[in-house]
Amino acid sequence: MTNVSLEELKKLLVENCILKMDPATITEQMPLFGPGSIGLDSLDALQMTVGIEQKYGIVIKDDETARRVLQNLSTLRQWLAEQPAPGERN
Amino acid sequence: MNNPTVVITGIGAVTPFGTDVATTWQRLVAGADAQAPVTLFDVAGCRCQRAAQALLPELPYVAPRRLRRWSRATRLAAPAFREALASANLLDATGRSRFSQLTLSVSTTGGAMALGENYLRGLLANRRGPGRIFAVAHYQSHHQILDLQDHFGFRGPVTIIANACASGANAVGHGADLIRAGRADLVITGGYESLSELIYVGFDCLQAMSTDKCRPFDIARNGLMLGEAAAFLVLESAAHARQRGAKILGVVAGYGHSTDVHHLTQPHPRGVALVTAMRQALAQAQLAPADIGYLNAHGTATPLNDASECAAFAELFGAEAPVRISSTKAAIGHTLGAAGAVEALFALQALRTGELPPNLSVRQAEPAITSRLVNGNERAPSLRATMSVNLGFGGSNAALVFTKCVAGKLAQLRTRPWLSRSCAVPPSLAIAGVGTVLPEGAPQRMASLVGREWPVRRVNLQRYELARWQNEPRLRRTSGLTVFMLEAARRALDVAGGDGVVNPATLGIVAAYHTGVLVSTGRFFQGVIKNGQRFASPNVFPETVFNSPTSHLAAVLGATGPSYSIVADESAWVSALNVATTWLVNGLVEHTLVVAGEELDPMALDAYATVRWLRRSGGFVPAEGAGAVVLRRAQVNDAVQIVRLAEGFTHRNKTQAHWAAEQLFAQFPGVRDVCRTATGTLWAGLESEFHARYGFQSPPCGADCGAAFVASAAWQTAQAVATIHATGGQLLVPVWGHSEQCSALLLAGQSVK
Repeated sequence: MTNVSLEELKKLLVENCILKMDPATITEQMPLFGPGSIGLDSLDALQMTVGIEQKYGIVIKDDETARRVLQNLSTLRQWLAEQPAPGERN
Repeated sequence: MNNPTVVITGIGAVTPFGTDVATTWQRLVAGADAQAPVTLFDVAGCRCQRAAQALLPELPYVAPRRLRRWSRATRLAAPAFREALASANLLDATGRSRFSQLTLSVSTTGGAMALGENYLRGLLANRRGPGRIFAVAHYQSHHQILDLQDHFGFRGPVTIIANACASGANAVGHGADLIRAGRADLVITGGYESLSELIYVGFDCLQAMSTDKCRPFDIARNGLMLGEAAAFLVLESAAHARQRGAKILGVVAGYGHSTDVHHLTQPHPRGVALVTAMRQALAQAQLAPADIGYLNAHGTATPLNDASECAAFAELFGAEAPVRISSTKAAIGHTLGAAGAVEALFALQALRTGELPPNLSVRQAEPAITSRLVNGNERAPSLRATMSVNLGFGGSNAALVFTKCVAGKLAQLRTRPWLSRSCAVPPSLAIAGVGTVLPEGAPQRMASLVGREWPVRRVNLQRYELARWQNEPRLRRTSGLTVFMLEAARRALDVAGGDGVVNPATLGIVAAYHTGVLVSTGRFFQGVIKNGQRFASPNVFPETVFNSPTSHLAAVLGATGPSYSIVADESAWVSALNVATTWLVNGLVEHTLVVAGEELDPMALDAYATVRWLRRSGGFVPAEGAGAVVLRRAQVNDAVQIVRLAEGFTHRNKTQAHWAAEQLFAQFPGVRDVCRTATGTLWAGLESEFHARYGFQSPPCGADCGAAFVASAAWQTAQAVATIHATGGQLLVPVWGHSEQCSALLLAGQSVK
């Protein structure tokens, strides 16, 4: 599918994860989970899969993919770019 | 202190297996499984499509007109309640309670949630059907209790515990606590839960439900199965049961409960709080882990829950204890607010029959528990004691221990007069600290969901004291309610600490709510309606659980002791004070924080408008905020003490409310200093009438803060404490519950001037 802007993903992240932080302070390489990260947890991981499916129509099908894709906004952005748009599938 | 032995004299249940205990037990031990497609509501957008629905029993003894007004929750609860009363020989020939006063300790998480869901769907679709007022007026938990009281013909104090999935065990345990503390002789305990779309979709979006089979303690378990049920146990002091010749089914020998502050929805990996609860229960029962022959586990079949439980069982029982363990949730589902009561009943039945319910659908068990899991057709005829444990969202952990009745021990017990008390008299308790968070400034206009504007009183969340809590990582997903409660609690604890600090390790928390977590609930379900079940928010759903603010409080304060969430109308405040009293009398804690909070939401304004509260001339202005008190046992120089609590004067219309208020004030003969309601009230006219008739003195009641239900009762108490600080003397604080109970607390103290 077409590239998604970093700003759009930051907005998606902040809104879905109810983050009380300025999106401008989030960088593309900043880890989403674990020590030194933005501080997301497993509920946020589920929320991001719901948010991504709702916004882009693309399903993160399993935990392993979620772990790989949701490392940071760069991995998410890259993965989204690799996915066929919903209308292009099948 | 020679605490009374607590015995069980009656049991009743409605489950997906049947409409009585015998049928349920027979199918359970036979290894049946009640999983079936959900037909109660549409689940087309959910990942999971199955659950364990209960078959509603025929109720030929209920008048059709009354039956039409009963929610599904009441239709589950009433027959179970009837069976429990009948087996305890507490029903008369007409099917009504033999006693006009009965104390209840019950649990549910959803009440009649389906009514609230239908109301919200109708509101958003601009439907104005005739059922709207009924839905708004009957969805909350205390209305099912009033249904039971009306049908079975009794009144009395009610404590409704909403501690998520541990609630049922807490309700049974609290009933036993009341008897041990000498504050009741007979308590009907139990829980009920009917399936609702909001809760089903919530668990579905958390991906906590199995899409194939619920397999507790299997290494490949992938989630739970929801169910619905009701179960009640009649508890009595042994002396009371013996005096009336009741058949004794078993003994509630021990109860333990603690709070896991690890995470809102995830248990501590080592099950630390569960170990604490189990040890407390064993200590109270004066038993060792090796004495427990059978344990009914929480066993939801989610990866994290079962792993945590396995760790806790390994810690407590070691390698040697002979305990047999099973989860019964693969058979009848996870019945949430009913689960603790249903499973307590199963642990009792195992003790009575020697039959053990099998752990179903296991292909390869967790190695840590393999050798202990109950297989099919297993019997243990020489059981001495059994245990039931439950864990809930928000970190509630509870354990109950049951033993057989030992006749020789009973013979030594002192006898007591045959009495079902409705008015509790605690030993003197001191109010060691008070804190409030009040609305500020003039009323503001707030738009309802359908766009109508109403005056409301709001708290300014941007104020420094409140804004700083919003940086707490744990509170990221919470609404204002948790912040209000936390700040009120901080203020009360600061005062109570004086020169020192209240030790969180010996602090209990009792939180009281009427509408509770409105903002998250509205946000979650409106999202489901607007976006579809598939896109329900896993980040918001856990915050819709009644005890989520209580759990956040415990986590931020570092309080790992007992915590309850109590729900009702304004009377929940007095119920919460009563719980605190029981804990202090039983020596469970050194201090108890009792905190009440309410918040505003557009959805609620429409509900208030639907029931025409916002049109009243009495000045009902909805408000938000919180109030808290810290209680401890009274010392000689304490300025303000609670000398008496009265509750149980229930009503469901103005005529009954009039009668209830008469009964309430009769408990306090000679008291003339009576605090007026500090804020707007729905019963302003009735209050004025009683003040005029009895010639009550009305101390200044402070600024009008609007009506914030249970928080208003807390503010009223805070104002009364301030009045006694100024003038000394006695002051009665009546709590005019708008839809359930009239209650009161009598304060006394010396001026601190």
